[in-house]
Amino acid sequence: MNRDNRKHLYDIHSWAGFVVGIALLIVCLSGAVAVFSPEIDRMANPALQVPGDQPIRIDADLALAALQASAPTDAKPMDRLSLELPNSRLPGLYGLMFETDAGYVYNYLDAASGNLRPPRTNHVNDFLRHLHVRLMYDRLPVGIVGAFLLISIVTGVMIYKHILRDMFRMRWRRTGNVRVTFADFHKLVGFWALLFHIVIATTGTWLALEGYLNPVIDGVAGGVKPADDEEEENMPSEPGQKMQPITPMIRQAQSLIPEFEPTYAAFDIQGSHPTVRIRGNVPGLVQENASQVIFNGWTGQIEEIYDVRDQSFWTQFRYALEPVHYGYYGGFWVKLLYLIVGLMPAILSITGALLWFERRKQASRPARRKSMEADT
Amino acid sequence: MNFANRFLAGFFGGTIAALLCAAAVLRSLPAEPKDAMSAAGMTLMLVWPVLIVVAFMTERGWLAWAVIAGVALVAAFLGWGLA
Repeated sequence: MNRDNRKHLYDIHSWAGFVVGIALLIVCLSGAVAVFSPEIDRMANPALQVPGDQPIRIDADLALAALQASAPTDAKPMDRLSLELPNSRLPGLYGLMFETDAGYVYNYLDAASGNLRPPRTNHVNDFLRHLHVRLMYDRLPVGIVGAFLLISIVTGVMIYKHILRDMFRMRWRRTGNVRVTFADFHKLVGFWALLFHIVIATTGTWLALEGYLNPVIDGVAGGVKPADDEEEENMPSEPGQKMQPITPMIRQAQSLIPEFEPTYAAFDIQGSHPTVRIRGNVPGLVQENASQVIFNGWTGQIEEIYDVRDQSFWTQFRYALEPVHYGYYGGFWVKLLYLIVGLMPAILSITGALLWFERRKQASRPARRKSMEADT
Repeated sequence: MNFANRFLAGFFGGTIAALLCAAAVLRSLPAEPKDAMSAAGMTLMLVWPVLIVVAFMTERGWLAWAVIAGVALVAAFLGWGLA
Protein backbone atom coordinates (compact mmCIF):
# COMPACT_ATOMS: atom_id res chain seq x y z
CA MET A 1 0.00 0.00 0.00
CA ASN A 2 1.44 3.35 -0.98
CA ARG A 3 1.84 6.39 1.23
CA ASP A 4 -1.13 8.31 -0.21
CA ASN A 5 -3.53 5.45 0.37
CA ARG A 6 -2.26 5.04 3.90
CA LYS A 7 -2.86 8.73 4.52
CA HIS A 8 -6.40 8.51 3.12
CA LEU A 9 -7.08 5.47 5.29
CA TYR A 10 -5.75 7.40 8.27
CA ASP A 11 -8.28 10.13 7.46
CA ILE A 12 -11.11 7.57 7.15
CA HIS A 13 -10.06 6.03 10.46
CA SER A 14 -10.04 9.45 12.12
CA TRP A 15 -13.34 10.56 10.66
CA ALA A 16 -15.04 7.21 11.31
CA GLY A 17 -14.04 7.56 14.95
CA PHE A 18 -14.83 11.26 15.09
CA VAL A 19 -18.32 11.05 13.49
CA VAL A 20 -19.60 8.31 15.80
CA GLY A 21 -17.19 8.98 18.68
CA ILE A 22 -19.72 10.17 21.25
CA ALA A 23 -22.32 7.55 20.25
CA LEU A 24 -19.62 4.84 20.31
CA LEU A 25 -18.58 6.00 23.76
CA ILE A 26 -22.19 5.79 25.01
CA VAL A 27 -22.87 2.39 23.39
CA CYS A 28 -19.63 0.89 24.71
CA LEU A 29 -19.90 2.31 28.23
CA SER A 30 -23.54 1.29 28.60
CA GLY A 31 -22.80 -2.13 27.07
CA ALA A 32 -19.85 -2.75 29.38
CA VAL A 33 -21.88 -1.79 32.46
CA ALA A 34 -24.94 -3.70 31.19
CA VAL A 35 -22.95 -6.93 31.51
CA PHE A 36 -23.68 -6.65 35.23
CA SER A 37 -27.17 -5.19 34.84
CA PRO A 38 -28.97 -8.01 36.76
CA GLU A 39 -26.67 -7.42 39.74
CA ILE A 40 -27.00 -3.62 39.46
CA ASP A 41 -30.77 -3.99 39.10
CA ARG A 42 -30.95 -6.02 42.33
CA MET A 43 -28.79 -3.51 44.19
CA ALA A 44 -30.92 -0.60 42.99
CA ASN A 45 -34.26 -2.21 43.82
CA PRO A 46 -35.14 -3.17 47.42
CA ALA A 47 -38.08 -5.11 45.93
CA LEU A 48 -35.63 -7.61 44.42
CA GLN A 49 -33.49 -8.09 47.53
CA VAL A 50 -34.44 -11.40 49.14
CA PRO A 51 -32.02 -14.11 50.21
CA GLY A 52 -31.49 -16.26 47.14
CA ASP A 53 -30.85 -19.46 49.09
CA GLN A 54 -34.19 -19.60 50.91
CA PRO A 55 -36.43 -22.55 50.02
CA ILE A 56 -39.24 -22.01 47.52
CA ARG A 57 -42.47 -22.77 49.42
CA ILE A 58 -44.96 -21.06 47.13
CA ASP A 59 -45.71 -22.87 43.91
CA ALA A 60 -46.09 -21.09 40.60
CA ASP A 61 -49.91 -21.38 40.47
CA LEU A 62 -50.35 -19.72 43.86
CA ALA A 63 -47.82 -17.06 42.90
CA LEU A 64 -49.60 -16.37 39.63
CA ALA A 65 -52.98 -16.03 41.35
CA ALA A 66 -51.55 -13.68 44.00
CA LEU A 67 -49.71 -11.56 41.45
CA GLN A 68 -52.74 -11.33 39.18
CA ALA A 69 -54.81 -10.21 42.17
CA SER A 70 -52.23 -7.48 42.82
CA ALA A 71 -52.67 -5.97 39.34
CA PRO A 72 -53.01 -2.18 39.27
CA THR A 73 -56.56 -0.95 38.75
CA ASP A 74 -55.68 0.59 35.39
CA ALA A 75 -53.84 -2.53 34.11
CA LYS A 76 -54.75 -3.40 30.53
CA PRO A 77 -56.04 -6.92 29.84
CA MET A 78 -53.35 -9.05 28.23
CA ASP A 79 -53.69 -12.12 26.04
CA ARG A 80 -50.10 -13.10 26.68
CA LEU A 81 -48.91 -13.28 30.27
CA SER A 82 -45.38 -14.08 31.29
CA LEU A 83 -44.70 -15.15 34.85
CA GLU A 84 -41.04 -14.87 35.78
CA LEU A 85 -40.00 -17.82 37.92
CA PRO A 86 -37.34 -17.79 40.63
CA ASN A 87 -34.01 -18.21 38.83
CA SER A 88 -30.39 -17.11 39.02
CA ARG A 89 -31.25 -13.65 37.63
CA LEU A 90 -34.22 -13.24 39.97
CA PRO A 91 -33.45 -15.43 42.99
CA GLY A 92 -36.24 -16.13 45.46
CA LEU A 93 -38.95 -14.17 43.63
CA TYR A 94 -41.81 -14.52 41.19
CA GLY A 95 -42.45 -11.55 38.91
CA LEU A 96 -45.31 -10.40 36.69
CA MET A 97 -45.43 -7.36 34.42
CA PHE A 98 -48.57 -5.30 33.78
CA GLU A 99 -49.14 -2.67 31.16
CA THR A 100 -50.90 0.45 32.42
CA ASP A 101 -51.64 3.87 30.96
CA ALA A 102 -48.59 5.23 32.76
CA GLY A 103 -46.27 2.49 31.47
CA TYR A 104 -45.17 -0.91 32.69
CA VAL A 105 -45.57 -1.99 36.32
CA TYR A 106 -43.60 -4.90 37.77
CA ASN A 107 -44.97 -6.78 40.76
CA TYR A 108 -42.96 -9.34 42.70
CA LEU A 109 -43.81 -12.04 45.20
CA ASP A 110 -41.52 -13.65 47.75
CA ALA A 111 -41.25 -17.32 46.80
CA ALA A 112 -40.59 -18.38 50.41
CA SER A 113 -43.21 -16.40 52.36
CA GLY A 114 -45.76 -15.63 49.65
CA ASN A 115 -45.74 -11.94 50.57
CA LEU A 116 -45.93 -9.30 47.91
CA ARG A 117 -42.78 -7.22 47.68
CA PRO A 118 -42.79 -3.40 47.59
CA PRO A 119 -43.18 -2.05 44.05
CA ARG A 120 -40.12 -1.77 41.87
CA THR A 121 -38.88 1.82 41.94
CA ASN A 122 -35.76 1.74 39.82
CA HIS A 123 -35.54 0.77 36.16
CA VAL A 124 -31.77 0.97 35.71
CA ASN A 125 -31.72 -2.41 33.94
CA ASP A 126 -34.22 -1.28 31.29
CA PHE A 127 -32.44 2.06 30.97
CA LEU A 128 -29.03 0.47 30.35
CA ARG A 129 -30.46 -2.00 27.85
CA HIS A 130 -32.46 0.68 26.03
CA LEU A 131 -29.41 2.94 25.90
CA HIS A 132 -27.11 0.20 24.63
CA VAL A 133 -29.52 -1.47 22.21
CA ARG A 134 -31.36 1.59 20.88
CA LEU A 135 -29.50 4.70 22.08
CA MET A 136 -32.90 5.56 23.64
CA TYR A 137 -34.34 5.73 20.13
CA ASP A 138 -33.93 2.85 17.68
CA ARG A 139 -31.62 -0.01 16.70
CA LEU A 140 -30.61 1.64 13.43
CA PRO A 141 -28.23 4.28 14.89
CA VAL A 142 -26.60 1.59 17.04
CA GLY A 143 -26.11 -0.53 13.93
CA ILE A 144 -24.54 2.44 12.13
CA VAL A 145 -22.20 2.94 15.10
CA GLY A 146 -21.30 -0.76 14.86
CA ALA A 147 -20.60 -0.46 11.13
CA PHE A 148 -18.34 2.55 11.77
CA LEU A 149 -16.60 0.54 14.49
CA LEU A 150 -15.98 -2.23 11.93
CA ILE A 151 -14.55 0.33 9.49
CA SER A 152 -12.40 1.77 12.29
CA ILE A 153 -11.06 -1.68 13.16
CA VAL A 154 -10.24 -2.51 9.55
CA THR A 155 -8.64 0.84 8.73
CA GLY A 156 -6.83 0.85 12.09
CA VAL A 157 -5.19 -2.51 11.31
CA MET A 158 -4.31 -1.36 7.79
CA ILE A 159 -2.63 1.90 8.72
CA TYR A 160 -0.66 0.28 11.52
CA LYS A 161 2.69 -0.43 9.87
CA HIS A 162 4.52 -2.32 12.63
CA ILE A 163 1.68 -4.09 14.36
CA LEU A 164 3.75 -7.04 15.63
CA ARG A 165 6.91 -5.08 16.40
CA ASP A 166 4.99 -2.59 18.59
CA MET A 167 2.80 -5.04 20.44
CA PHE A 168 4.59 -4.34 23.73
CA ARG A 169 5.75 -0.77 23.06
CA MET A 170 4.50 1.91 25.42
CA ARG A 171 6.37 5.20 25.78
CA TRP A 172 5.18 7.17 28.81
CA ARG A 173 5.72 10.92 28.54
CA ARG A 174 4.32 13.21 31.15
CA THR A 175 5.75 16.39 29.65
CA GLY A 176 6.52 17.53 26.14
CA ASN A 177 5.01 15.51 23.34
CA VAL A 178 2.16 13.56 24.97
CA ARG A 179 0.95 12.63 21.52
CA VAL A 180 3.45 9.77 21.47
CA THR A 181 1.98 8.41 24.72
CA PHE A 182 -1.57 8.70 23.40
CA ALA A 183 -0.58 7.04 20.12
CA ASP A 184 1.23 4.16 21.84
CA PHE A 185 -1.63 3.61 24.27
CA HIS A 186 -4.20 3.75 21.45
CA LYS A 187 -2.28 1.18 19.41
CA LEU A 188 -1.55 -1.05 22.39
CA VAL A 189 -5.19 -1.21 23.49
CA GLY A 190 -6.34 -1.60 19.88
CA PHE A 191 -3.95 -4.48 19.28
CA TRP A 192 -4.58 -6.49 22.45
CA ALA A 193 -8.36 -6.15 22.27
CA LEU A 194 -8.51 -6.62 18.49
CA LEU A 195 -10.08 -10.07 18.46
CA PHE A 196 -12.64 -9.10 21.08
CA HIS A 197 -13.48 -5.93 19.14
CA ILE A 198 -13.99 -7.88 15.91
CA VAL A 199 -16.34 -10.30 17.70
CA ILE A 200 -18.24 -7.54 19.51
CA ALA A 201 -18.50 -5.33 16.42
CA THR A 202 -19.65 -8.10 14.04
CA THR A 203 -22.19 -9.65 16.43
CA GLY A 204 -23.38 -6.26 17.72
CA THR A 205 -23.78 -4.75 14.26
CA TRP A 206 -25.70 -7.77 13.07
CA LEU A 207 -27.95 -7.92 16.14
CA ALA A 208 -28.72 -4.22 15.66
CA LEU A 209 -29.21 -4.28 11.91
CA GLU A 210 -30.71 -7.72 11.27
CA GLY A 211 -34.22 -6.29 11.15
CA TYR A 212 -33.11 -3.91 8.41
CA LEU A 213 -30.72 -6.20 6.55
CA ASN A 214 -32.86 -9.35 6.54
CA PRO A 215 -35.19 -8.09 3.78
CA VAL A 216 -32.22 -6.72 1.79
CA ILE A 217 -30.32 -10.03 1.90
CA ASP A 218 -33.53 -11.94 1.25
CA GLY A 219 -34.30 -9.62 -1.66
CA VAL A 220 -30.83 -10.15 -3.19
CA ALA A 221 -31.25 -13.91 -2.66
CA GLY A 222 -34.54 -13.77 -4.54
CA GLY A 223 -36.86 -14.37 -1.59
CA VAL A 224 -36.04 -18.06 -1.44
CA LYS A 225 -36.48 -18.52 2.28
CA PRO A 226 -39.55 -16.87 3.71
CA ALA A 227 -39.82 -16.40 7.47
CA ASP A 228 -40.73 -19.60 9.26
CA ASP A 229 -43.04 -17.99 11.79
CA GLU A 230 -46.17 -20.07 12.02
CA GLU A 231 -49.42 -18.20 12.16
CA GLU A 232 -51.76 -20.12 14.36
CA GLU A 233 -55.43 -20.16 13.64
CA ASN A 234 -57.34 -18.41 16.39
CA MET A 235 -60.77 -19.78 17.03
CA PRO A 236 -63.15 -18.47 19.68
CA SER A 237 -62.64 -20.24 23.00
CA GLU A 238 -65.19 -22.72 24.24
CA PRO A 239 -66.89 -21.88 27.54
CA GLY A 240 -66.10 -24.11 30.51
CA GLN A 241 -62.55 -24.90 29.47
CA LYS A 242 -60.01 -24.33 32.25
CA MET A 243 -56.28 -23.84 32.11
CA GLN A 244 -54.24 -26.66 33.62
CA PRO A 245 -51.99 -25.86 36.62
CA ILE A 246 -48.47 -24.88 35.62
CA THR A 247 -46.51 -26.28 38.57
CA PRO A 248 -46.54 -29.86 37.17
CA MET A 249 -45.59 -28.46 33.76
CA ILE A 250 -42.53 -26.76 35.25
CA ARG A 251 -41.48 -30.02 36.96
CA GLN A 252 -42.03 -31.95 33.77
CA ALA A 253 -39.96 -29.45 31.75
CA GLN A 254 -37.11 -29.83 34.25
CA SER A 255 -37.17 -33.59 33.86
CA LEU A 256 -37.39 -33.47 30.06
CA ILE A 257 -34.45 -31.11 29.41
CA PRO A 258 -31.23 -31.95 31.28
CA GLU A 259 -29.82 -29.12 33.47
CA PHE A 260 -32.80 -26.95 32.56
CA GLU A 261 -33.35 -23.83 34.68
CA PRO A 262 -36.94 -22.61 34.15
CA THR A 263 -37.14 -18.81 33.96
CA TYR A 264 -40.58 -17.97 32.56
CA ALA A 265 -44.00 -19.50 32.22
CA ALA A 266 -45.49 -17.75 29.21
CA PHE A 267 -49.23 -18.06 28.60
CA ASP A 268 -50.88 -17.53 25.27
CA ILE A 269 -54.52 -17.69 26.31
CA GLN A 270 -56.14 -16.34 23.20
CA GLY A 271 -58.28 -18.49 20.91
CA SER A 272 -59.02 -22.18 20.91
CA HIS A 273 -55.46 -23.34 21.29
CA PRO A 274 -54.01 -21.82 24.47
CA THR A 275 -50.44 -22.78 25.21
CA VAL A 276 -48.09 -22.59 28.15
CA ARG A 277 -44.40 -22.26 27.31
CA ILE A 278 -41.97 -23.09 30.07
CA ARG A 279 -38.92 -21.19 28.90
CA GLY A 280 -35.52 -21.47 30.47
CA ASN A 281 -31.77 -21.61 30.33
CA VAL A 282 -29.39 -24.45 29.66
CA PRO A 283 -25.64 -24.34 30.30
CA GLY A 284 -23.23 -23.41 27.53
CA LEU A 285 -23.06 -20.84 24.79
CA VAL A 286 -26.83 -20.60 24.40
CA GLN A 287 -29.09 -17.56 24.35
CA GLU A 288 -31.12 -17.01 27.52
CA ASN A 289 -34.70 -18.36 27.56
CA ALA A 290 -34.21 -20.05 24.19
CA SER A 291 -34.95 -23.60 25.31
CA GLN A 292 -38.54 -24.42 26.13
CA VAL A 293 -41.24 -27.02 26.55
CA ILE A 294 -44.64 -26.13 25.11
CA PHE A 295 -47.78 -27.54 26.70
CA ASN A 296 -51.39 -27.44 25.63
CA GLY A 297 -52.99 -25.09 28.14
CA TRP A 298 -56.28 -27.03 28.39
CA THR A 299 -55.03 -30.60 28.41
CA GLY A 300 -51.51 -30.16 29.82
CA GLN A 301 -50.13 -32.40 27.09
CA ILE A 302 -46.64 -31.78 25.75
CA GLU A 303 -46.66 -30.23 22.30
CA GLU A 304 -42.96 -29.55 21.78
CA ILE A 305 -39.64 -30.03 23.55
CA TYR A 306 -37.04 -27.60 22.31
CA ASP A 307 -33.52 -27.94 23.68
CA VAL A 308 -31.20 -25.67 21.68
CA ARG A 309 -28.29 -28.06 22.32
CA ASP A 310 -30.07 -30.77 20.33
CA GLN A 311 -30.61 -28.56 17.30
CA SER A 312 -28.48 -28.30 14.15
CA PHE A 313 -25.12 -26.51 14.11
CA TRP A 314 -26.62 -23.41 12.45
CA THR A 315 -29.43 -23.16 14.98
CA GLN A 316 -26.86 -23.32 17.77
CA PHE A 317 -24.80 -20.74 15.89
CA ARG A 318 -27.81 -18.38 15.79
CA TYR A 319 -28.49 -18.81 19.49
CA ALA A 320 -24.79 -18.27 20.31
CA LEU A 321 -24.58 -14.75 18.84
CA GLU A 322 -26.28 -13.00 21.75
CA PRO A 323 -24.33 -14.66 24.60
CA VAL A 324 -21.09 -14.11 22.67
CA HIS A 325 -21.96 -10.41 22.42
CA TYR A 326 -23.18 -9.95 26.01
CA GLY A 327 -20.87 -12.42 27.74
CA TYR A 328 -23.43 -14.01 30.05
CA TYR A 329 -22.38 -17.57 29.23
CA GLY A 330 -19.48 -17.97 31.62
CA GLY A 331 -20.25 -16.63 35.07
CA PHE A 332 -18.71 -13.80 37.04
CA TRP A 333 -15.13 -13.85 35.71
CA VAL A 334 -16.16 -13.91 32.06
CA LYS A 335 -18.55 -11.03 32.74
CA LEU A 336 -15.75 -9.12 34.49
CA LEU A 337 -13.52 -9.70 31.47
CA TYR A 338 -16.29 -8.41 29.20
CA LEU A 339 -16.67 -5.34 31.42
CA ILE A 340 -12.95 -4.55 31.27
CA VAL A 341 -12.35 -5.34 27.60
CA GLY A 342 -15.75 -3.86 26.72
CA LEU A 343 -14.51 -0.51 28.00
CA MET A 344 -11.60 -0.62 25.55
CA PRO A 345 -13.52 0.80 22.55
CA ALA A 346 -14.54 3.69 24.80
CA ILE A 347 -10.87 4.21 25.73
CA LEU A 348 -9.93 4.01 22.05
CA SER A 349 -12.62 6.54 21.26
CA ILE A 350 -11.22 8.97 23.84
CA THR A 351 -7.53 8.45 22.98
CA GLY A 352 -8.42 8.62 19.28
CA ALA A 353 -10.18 11.95 19.79
CA LEU A 354 -7.22 13.26 21.82
CA LEU A 355 -4.87 12.18 19.04
CA TRP A 356 -7.08 13.88 16.47
CA PHE A 357 -7.03 17.16 18.40
CA GLU A 358 -3.28 16.89 19.00
CA ARG A 359 -2.78 16.28 15.32
CA ARG A 360 -4.86 19.34 14.44
CA LYS A 361 -2.81 21.36 16.89
CA GLN A 362 0.42 20.19 15.37
CA ALA A 363 -0.83 20.53 11.80
CA SER A 364 0.53 24.04 11.51
CA ARG A 365 3.93 23.05 12.87
CA PRO A 366 6.78 22.02 10.54
CA ALA A 367 7.13 18.63 12.24
CA ARG A 368 3.73 17.46 11.03
CA ARG A 369 5.08 14.77 8.81
CA LYS A 370 7.25 13.36 11.55
CA SER A 371 4.37 13.11 14.04
CA MET A 372 2.17 11.40 11.50
CA GLU A 373 4.87 8.81 11.12
CA ALA A 374 4.76 8.25 14.89
CA ASP A 375 1.03 7.47 14.70
CA THR A 376 1.40 4.85 12.04
CA MET B 1 -8.27 9.68 -8.34
CA ASN B 2 -6.64 6.47 -7.28
CA PHE B 3 -8.14 6.83 -3.83
CA ALA B 4 -11.61 7.60 -5.22
CA ASN B 5 -11.33 4.50 -7.38
CA ARG B 6 -10.41 2.34 -4.38
CA PHE B 7 -13.10 3.96 -2.26
CA LEU B 8 -15.69 3.12 -4.92
CA ALA B 9 -14.32 -0.41 -5.19
CA GLY B 10 -14.24 -0.95 -1.42
CA PHE B 11 -17.42 0.67 -0.23
CA PHE B 12 -19.74 0.24 -3.19
CA GLY B 13 -18.33 -2.78 -5.01
CA GLY B 14 -17.42 -4.37 -1.68
CA THR B 15 -20.91 -3.82 -0.26
CA ILE B 16 -22.58 -5.33 -3.32
CA ALA B 17 -20.18 -8.29 -3.37
CA ALA B 18 -20.61 -8.86 0.39
CA LEU B 19 -24.40 -8.76 -0.03
CA LEU B 20 -24.09 -11.32 -2.82
CA CYS B 21 -21.99 -13.53 -0.53
CA ALA B 22 -24.61 -13.24 2.22
CA ALA B 23 -27.40 -14.00 -0.25
CA ALA B 24 -25.44 -17.00 -1.55
CA VAL B 25 -25.12 -18.33 2.00
CA LEU B 26 -28.84 -17.79 2.53
CA ARG B 27 -29.69 -19.64 -0.69
CA SER B 28 -27.33 -22.54 -0.35
CA LEU B 29 -27.14 -23.28 3.38
CA PRO B 30 -29.25 -26.33 4.29
CA ALA B 31 -30.68 -24.73 7.43
CA GLU B 32 -33.89 -23.21 8.75
CA PRO B 33 -34.58 -19.70 7.38
CA LYS B 34 -33.78 -17.86 10.61
CA ASP B 35 -30.58 -19.86 11.14
CA ALA B 36 -29.46 -19.38 7.54
CA MET B 37 -30.17 -15.65 7.86
CA SER B 38 -27.93 -15.40 10.95
CA ALA B 39 -25.13 -17.15 9.06
CA ALA B 40 -25.72 -14.86 6.08
CA GLY B 41 -25.61 -11.82 8.35
CA MET B 42 -22.33 -12.82 9.93
CA THR B 43 -20.93 -13.50 6.44
CA LEU B 44 -21.91 -9.96 5.48
CA MET B 45 -20.33 -8.49 8.63
CA LEU B 46 -17.04 -10.35 8.05
CA VAL B 47 -16.73 -10.24 4.25
CA TRP B 48 -17.65 -6.57 3.89
CA PRO B 49 -14.71 -5.12 5.87
CA VAL B 50 -12.35 -7.70 4.35
CA LEU B 51 -13.27 -6.50 0.87
CA ILE B 52 -12.64 -2.92 1.95
CA VAL B 53 -9.19 -4.03 3.11
CA VAL B 54 -8.65 -5.78 -0.22
CA ALA B 55 -9.63 -2.63 -2.10
CA PHE B 56 -6.94 -0.62 -0.36
CA MET B 57 -4.26 -3.28 -0.05
CA THR B 58 -4.01 -4.30 -3.69
CA GLU B 59 -1.14 -2.80 -5.66
CA ARG B 60 -3.32 -1.33 -8.42
CA GLY B 61 -6.87 0.02 -8.52
CA TRP B 62 -8.03 -2.25 -11.31
CA LEU B 63 -6.81 -5.24 -9.34
CA ALA B 64 -9.08 -4.23 -6.46
CA TRP B 65 -12.05 -4.19 -8.82
CA ALA B 66 -10.97 -7.52 -10.29
CA VAL B 67 -10.73 -9.20 -6.87
CA ILE B 68 -14.10 -7.83 -5.74
CA ALA B 69 -15.73 -8.79 -9.04
CA GLY B 70 -14.18 -12.26 -8.65
CA VAL B 71 -15.65 -12.63 -5.15
CA ALA B 72 -19.05 -11.50 -6.47
CA LEU B 73 -18.85 -14.00 -9.34
CA VAL B 74 -17.90 -16.87 -7.02
CA ALA B 75 -20.78 -15.91 -4.69
CA ALA B 76 -23.18 -15.76 -7.63
CA PHE B 77 -21.97 -19.14 -8.85
CA LEU B 78 -22.31 -20.77 -5.42
CA GLY B 79 -25.65 -19.17 -4.67
CA TRP B 80 -27.34 -19.37 -8.05
CA GLY B 81 -25.25 -21.55 -10.34
CA LEU B 82 -25.14 -24.58 -8.08
CA ALA B 83 -28.59 -24.16 -6.56
